[in-house]
Amino acid sequence: MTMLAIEGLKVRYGAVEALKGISLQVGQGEVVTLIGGNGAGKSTLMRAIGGLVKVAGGTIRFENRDITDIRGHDCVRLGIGHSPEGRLVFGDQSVRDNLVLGAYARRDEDGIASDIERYFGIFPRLAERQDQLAGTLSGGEQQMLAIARALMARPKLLLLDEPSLGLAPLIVREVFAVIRRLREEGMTILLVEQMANQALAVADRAYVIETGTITLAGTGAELLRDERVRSAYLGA
Amino acid sequence: MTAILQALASGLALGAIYGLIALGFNITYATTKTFNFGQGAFLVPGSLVGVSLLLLAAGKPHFGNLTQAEMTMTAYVLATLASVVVVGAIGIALYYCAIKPFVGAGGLNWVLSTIGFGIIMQNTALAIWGPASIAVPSPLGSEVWRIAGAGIRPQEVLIAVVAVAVMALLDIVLRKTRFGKALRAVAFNPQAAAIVGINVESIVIAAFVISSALAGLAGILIAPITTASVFIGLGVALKAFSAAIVGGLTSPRGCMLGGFLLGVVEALVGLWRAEMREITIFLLIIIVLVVRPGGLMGARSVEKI
Repeated sequence: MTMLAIEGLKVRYGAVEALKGISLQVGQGEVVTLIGGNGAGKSTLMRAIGGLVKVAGGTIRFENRDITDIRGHDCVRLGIGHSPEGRLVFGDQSVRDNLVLGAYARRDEDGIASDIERYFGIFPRLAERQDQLAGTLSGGEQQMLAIARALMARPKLLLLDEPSLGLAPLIVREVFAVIRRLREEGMTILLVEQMANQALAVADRAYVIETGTITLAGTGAELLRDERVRSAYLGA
Repeated sequence: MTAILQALASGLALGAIYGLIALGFNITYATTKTFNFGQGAFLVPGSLVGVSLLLLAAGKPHFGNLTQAEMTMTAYVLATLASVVVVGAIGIALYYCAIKPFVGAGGLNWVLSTIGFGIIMQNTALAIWGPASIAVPSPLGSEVWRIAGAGIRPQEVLIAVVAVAVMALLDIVLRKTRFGKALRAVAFNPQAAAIVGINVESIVIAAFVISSALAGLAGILIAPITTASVFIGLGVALKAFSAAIVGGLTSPRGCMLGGFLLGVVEALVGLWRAEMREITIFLLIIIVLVVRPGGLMGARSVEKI
């Protein structure tokens, strides 16, 4: 079943067309990755899905509902969780309060409390630092917090925007271990990455995006073997 | 010595007023990087609306004078609530007229638009109430209290108590409640706030309502000391603005501290030589800002570059 269906999506920043008619689908339970270089439009696409930029053309449908012109704060209520590029944790609030804010759209106090414990179990570093200000965490810890905060909304679809950006290789491995675990639990994920190697290995399907256009699509394994992908993104 | 005690009490009361208004600057600055430059004019309806309602209730014209008998504590509390609600509602109008068109667009248009909104409001008040000031009795009476030999006006005590209570309440709300965490999230990063489902605009409107309501509260609290009139706000708001800058515009507690500091310094210096009051205060402000550009409790760098 298709969870997210994007058709001919266009986004403009002033005179610049950042997305020039993107079409892609994410099925329920799938991990789909979007790879591409800097400025290709990956994050713009994520922000369009999350209702954070104005869409100039095309449609975005989520669970058969048109969400093209949705306002950012309504997105999470439909079931779209977003771990944004640059993590954007609330640096002047505690780790615990960041998780509480992740559940802002929920009202079930008991469920929220048990979910916080659940993610403290999955991310023990966050549990150790729960009373610390999020701004004092390391980059890797902030990334884990951004993911956990997105999960606190109990999303059906998780948008993961550049989770490995600026992290040491060892930490990147940890982040991908978390993504694998979420995938095993059946979470639907749209993953944007520059670490094409790792992203393709974890993904069911993948799209290559270049200057606002999808240039290639296939299964993760197919794209890992593709000559063009190997030379452009895998450094082979 | 008693003179110093007396001045200290007046200074704390005045400082509490500065602190309340400064806190209003902090809340909107944190969420939008703007604040109401016309905040002084918001003290005007704060003082006049409540007082006029009491006058009307007593069967008098809305710009007459209140007698002590008509100013019971119940009446004062009701007048205060009315002022806070009305001025808080004006805050919504302020947002839509003077902030929303300009926020996030860069530039300083919001400075002029908020000053303009205040001037429009002040002149509207002038049309309704005229230029004469209305004597407002304190609900605690005019009898001076003797504390350790010093004569202290009961209204000064009331101001300090109410202001400190409101500040403490706001401090708790900002730190502990769902609303407070959401407001601080918006202040930290509006996009991230939207991502977790916070309606950023409604939080911003709430910030302007709180900021305006605080000015309204300051207006009615200070009215028994200064009288209620169309002209009460400007000087007070300038000092409150200074208090916010000195204490740290980015820190709620800094704003309160700045308020008390300015009030006390002003009162103590005034005891010595009245004409030195403003000179000392503004010299002090400049020195503080040279040493700590972000204010006493503010972030080290005010603007990130």
